[in-house]
Amino acid sequence: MRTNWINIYAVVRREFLERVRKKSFLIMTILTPLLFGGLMVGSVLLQVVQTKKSHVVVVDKTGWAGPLVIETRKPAKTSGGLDAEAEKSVRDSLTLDLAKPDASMGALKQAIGDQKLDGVLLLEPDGKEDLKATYMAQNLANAQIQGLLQGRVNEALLQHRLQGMGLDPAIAQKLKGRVELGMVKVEKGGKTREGSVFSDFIKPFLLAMLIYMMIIMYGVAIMNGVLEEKNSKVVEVILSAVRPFELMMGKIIGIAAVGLLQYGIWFLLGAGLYLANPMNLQAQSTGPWLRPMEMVLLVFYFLFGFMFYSSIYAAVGATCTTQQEAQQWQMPVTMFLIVPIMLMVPTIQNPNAPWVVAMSLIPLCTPITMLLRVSVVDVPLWQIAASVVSLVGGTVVVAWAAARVYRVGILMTGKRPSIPEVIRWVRAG
Amino acid sequence: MNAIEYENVAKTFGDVQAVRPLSLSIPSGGVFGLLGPNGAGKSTLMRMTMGIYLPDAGQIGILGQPRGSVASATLGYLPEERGLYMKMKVGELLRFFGCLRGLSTAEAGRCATDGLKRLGLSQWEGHKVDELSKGMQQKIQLLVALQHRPKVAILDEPFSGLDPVNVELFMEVLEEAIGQGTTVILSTHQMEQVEKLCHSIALIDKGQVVLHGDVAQIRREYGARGVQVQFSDGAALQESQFADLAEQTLLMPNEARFFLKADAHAGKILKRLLELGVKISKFEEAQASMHDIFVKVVTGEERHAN
Repeated sequence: MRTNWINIYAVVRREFLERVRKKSFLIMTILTPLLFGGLMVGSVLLQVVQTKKSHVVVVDKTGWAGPLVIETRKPAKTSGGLDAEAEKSVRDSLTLDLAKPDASMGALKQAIGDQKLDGVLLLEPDGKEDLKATYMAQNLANAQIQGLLQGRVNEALLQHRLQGMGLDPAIAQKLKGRVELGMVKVEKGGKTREGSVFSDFIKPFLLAMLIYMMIIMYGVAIMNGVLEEKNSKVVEVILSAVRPFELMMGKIIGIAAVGLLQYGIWFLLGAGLYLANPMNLQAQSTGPWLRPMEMVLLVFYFLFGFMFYSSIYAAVGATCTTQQEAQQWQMPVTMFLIVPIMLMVPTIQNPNAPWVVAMSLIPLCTPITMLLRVSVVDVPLWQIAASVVSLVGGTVVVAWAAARVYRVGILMTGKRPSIPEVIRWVRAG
Repeated sequence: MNAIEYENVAKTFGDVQAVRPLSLSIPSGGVFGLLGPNGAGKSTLMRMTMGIYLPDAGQIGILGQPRGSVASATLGYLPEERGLYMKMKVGELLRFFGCLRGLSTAEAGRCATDGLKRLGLSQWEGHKVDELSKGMQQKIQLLVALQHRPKVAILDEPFSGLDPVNVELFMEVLEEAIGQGTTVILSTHQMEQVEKLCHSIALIDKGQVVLHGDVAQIRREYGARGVQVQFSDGAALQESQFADLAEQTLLMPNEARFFLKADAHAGKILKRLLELGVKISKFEEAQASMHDIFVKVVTGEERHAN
């Protein structure tokens, strides 16, 4: 019997309409961007509205370091950007005081214990020239404060040494001028364009997350859909009219269409926001967001990656009988998705390392790893071609095997089959 | 032309031979009953007919064509394990299944509306399936099987779980379908319905056909030799006391049925009962019901096997 596309269309239509008409779809579609927007606004607000300033007392046993650490210095003009921003935000949230000469360490520690004081910075002489600094606090997890104190102590020591050499502090300040690194991306053929952390880090990150989220959310929806049909017994009536392969394909395509619609809505919202240009975002972005090649590959990896994984999820759904069982068995599948995501930072940093190249050619990882590589460097054409071939080939093989497992599993009841049994289903057809 | 032709069809699950090589012809028109005890292989046979399982061996022909090349619209199916999409609206559900059976969207809409009207469920068209009572859901399932007017409808236990009113309604709907040219093949345990509906039957046990033919003829063959007695004080009766007269004896506290041997007649049974001191309230030489025949054949098979 040949594949009947009218049947597949009927299944696609049902899956799509049933899901899109649900209230939960509308809520998710609206809520997700709101949630993301809220998180972004919220994190900014949190920085603005610092609830409590930390109070740290400096105990100076050197006779010179204390005032140098306390002294607030205007950041040098040349040092701008993120460091100065961070320094300022920490300084706003931290008070540094010099301890009274008669204050005992015991009393100060008591105060920390009673939470009347957040911390003590103990400065002691170390040999003739050097400085020993110790930070004592209940909470040692606040890396921001520790970073600031570290900077201050080093700065103080530097000042002290320069003065010891007889240098004017003003000259010393000049010597310390900083240069911000400009970034220019060089592409194939020597073309250059302005680059940024955004284009080389945040963008690939977002693209990978896009694929990851789609597969996780909608792949699992496919698994649950299969399970529901199986458990509600409706599947028998459907299979009396439709081949299992047609039902599986219809389900995958229908649910993929729902996901694409949702992504499309978000994309339009994002584009609208960008055009409305509320915070002068346009001025901050550099060059075209996605090059045509990236666009084509994004769509390709997106579709085939989804196909690949959802076939497996459909097969998992068909072999299980309960939700819990399915949850348990989807984990190993999902692991293959999580690994490339976990290795995202090293992948972006070394996009041409042999292990990254190898990973990007394994169909399980291609959609995420190769997409990361493509958006960071110019991947050799043969590698892109190889990834396309392996992903298409892998998807065909997996979909074929999944269809066979699905066909037997969907009508099984009772005990879950063992792995060797499932392999036998694939072989026997 | 036969509606369905099974030729040495067999199916095995693991170690269990669900259907042994089985050959059977089901004529077109009317209602054909597939009878048999639980686990006899009826549902497996029906599923193979619908293409849900593929037979391990043998051929299934439908209306003269091999099973694989039969158009989906030709067949209708009501499975034993009932299930619908609970969150779908009734009208949409029926249209979806109509489309799967090869109807165009417009035809499917028309069939759904007509079907709901016939079963008095028109006002439920826009409701979700899980808002319907169980009986109503069963009606919807019957519609799924019959709404597209299939040439052959296979109904696995269509009457199970129905109240008497709905049994009557289902029978009416089946008769209408037959009037429109559908051949109905149904399996059931309810022998009264078999007597009312089926023109011929096949009795299946342990994956094989053990009795097959025209209902009236089967009843004549078995029925002329039946005796039914109602009595009191019969607690002490034993089957062995009638072994010389009856091929088979079914004893119940206040009732007994006898299938007479060829050389025996009803009077001898009556005499024997009186000799045994039973107080008889009713004595009837009856045509055996399908129920009796079913029990006799199946238990006879078991004895034979043991």
